[in-house]
Amino acid sequence: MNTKPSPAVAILDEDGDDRLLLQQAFELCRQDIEVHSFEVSEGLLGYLHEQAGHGKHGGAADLVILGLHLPWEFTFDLIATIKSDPGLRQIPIIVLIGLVPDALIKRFYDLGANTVITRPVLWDELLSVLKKTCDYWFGPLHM
Amino acid sequence: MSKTPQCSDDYPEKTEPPEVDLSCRQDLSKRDDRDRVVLVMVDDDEDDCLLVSEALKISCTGCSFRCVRDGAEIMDYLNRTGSYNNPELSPVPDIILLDLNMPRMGGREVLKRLKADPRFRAIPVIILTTSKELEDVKACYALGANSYITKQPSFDALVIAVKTLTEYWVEIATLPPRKTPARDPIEPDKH
Repeated sequence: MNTKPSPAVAILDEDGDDRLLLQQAFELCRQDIEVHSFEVSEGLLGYLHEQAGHGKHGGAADLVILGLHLPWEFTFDLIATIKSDPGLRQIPIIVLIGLVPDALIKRFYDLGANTVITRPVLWDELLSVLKKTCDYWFGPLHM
Repeated sequence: MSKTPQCSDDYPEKTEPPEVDLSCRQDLSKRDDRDRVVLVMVDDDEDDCLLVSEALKISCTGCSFRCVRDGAEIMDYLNRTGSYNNPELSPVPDIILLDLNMPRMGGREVLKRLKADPRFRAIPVIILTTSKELEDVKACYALGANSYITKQPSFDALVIAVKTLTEYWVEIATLPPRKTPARDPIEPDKH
């Protein structure tokens, strides 16, 4: 069923350091993982459209990570764009956030984010969180 | 078919128990459901409900578990109609575990209704089914399922699966807040 030899994760984070940390953390989770990281949403959407049909469920990637330093409204629009596109909407989206008001968390879920995760500050904690995220989404349990 | 809760530790006395309530509460503290992660499973197979309940007792002491038997019953539960008019006995779920193939109202229809209803849209819905059909997977994600996992062939495998699931959804994920219109209290369904 999975037409790709290894799971593919697409990361969007406009902060270069955080983007690199996320990429390295995912690469440490699994040796066979493909990580594609983007600084701007146009790059992410371009990649997703280019790859559409190759992912686990016919989507472009197996997981999209939005590690956000972006204005909230911009992020809402991006989730809504992906989830309203018939070719992309089946891709799970994980939103990594800092401390934000509860209403924003609800809004992310309302718009179709599959999970919201509070981003750990410490490297070890980030690794642990992303390891469990990999185990959940790319383990034998999950379709 | 058992009509009594399978886990009764510290469970409040009910005056009008729902017919197939398999509610379980792990008893490590005296916290009420407001301090626990409430999982509601929608499945017509009582054995599956019981097994998940037992697996949760092992893997998630901070979880409170309910089971309802089909799609129509989860809508009653969420709308607090029928047997589920007491909020103390039917707390709004933090997470819904949803089977696909059920009598009266199947999982896809439930998913469609939940994700179309602003009161319930934010509640994470995890499809828990025997189906490995790609069409089911794609359709459920397209309808807004938060996750899609398959039932396990043995209790040992189920315990591992439930541990993985709760580690992710209870320990890692930031769940939607409780103090929202989709939480307490629920407005009556006006449709």
